[in-house]
Amino acid sequence: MTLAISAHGTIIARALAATPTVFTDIAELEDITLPELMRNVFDATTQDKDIDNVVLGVLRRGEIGIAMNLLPTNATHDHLTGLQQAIISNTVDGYRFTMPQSLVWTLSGQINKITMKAPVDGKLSMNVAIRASGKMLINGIVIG
Amino acid sequence: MPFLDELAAKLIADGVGSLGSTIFLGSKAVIPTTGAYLALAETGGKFSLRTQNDTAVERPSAQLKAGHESYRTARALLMAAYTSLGGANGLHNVTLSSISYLSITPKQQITDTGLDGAGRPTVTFNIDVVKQPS
Repeated sequence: MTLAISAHGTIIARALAATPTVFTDIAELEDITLPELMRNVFDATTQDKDIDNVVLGVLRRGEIGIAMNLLPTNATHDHLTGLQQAIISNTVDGYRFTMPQSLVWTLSGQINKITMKAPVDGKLSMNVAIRASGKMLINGIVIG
Repeated sequence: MPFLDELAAKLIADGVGSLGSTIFLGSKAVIPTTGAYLALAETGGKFSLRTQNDTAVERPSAQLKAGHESYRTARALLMAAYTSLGGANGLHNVTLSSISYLSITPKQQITDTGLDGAGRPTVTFNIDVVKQPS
């Protein structure tokens, strides 16, 4: 029997910079791409070596991608207090990702792209890209 | 309220017919052997679109079939239903029986579907629906 678990139920909550401990779940989330973890590779191979040697750089995070049903007047989506407000004001806010089996990532980030779609036959949708910055927590453990 | 009842309520409100007299729901409905009728049947649709927050929308479909001894009368009845459900443009962001419907759209034009068991001409069209669960 597999030990794999469904990703359904992964929730992202946002804490405004002014109230950093107050997280509010973002409404109607669809597919979520969590930040890729990576390190740049620097070749350190020298003439006297017959096999490559590398040094990895600083821990870096890729873009976080969030797809959702766009609710134009929802406080977690709109241009007044929601994600659209975050990119307009370029605020650094807290984001908490709670995955099934209580895996929790918490980080600070800014929204660098929002794409909204209004298909002739389909739902209003919004895709949001977030770049993380600074230390993060994974289940309470400080990373970085 | 079940899906077909929500549709029927819209049709009745728009004067298309009356439940049990000219509008019948489901495949086991007892349809009179004479006169006009409009029969609605659920046809499965597609899987629901889910969100992480458990705010899914359902995507049912339905078939509407009208019959009468006169093809023209059957077609007129079905056309009234077609118009009630938005016609070629469909219905978008409406509330039927307190349930939010994102869209009701016809899948095709009105189609001649031959004679029913009583020898009456029938015409049919199908709809796709995206709605809040009910």
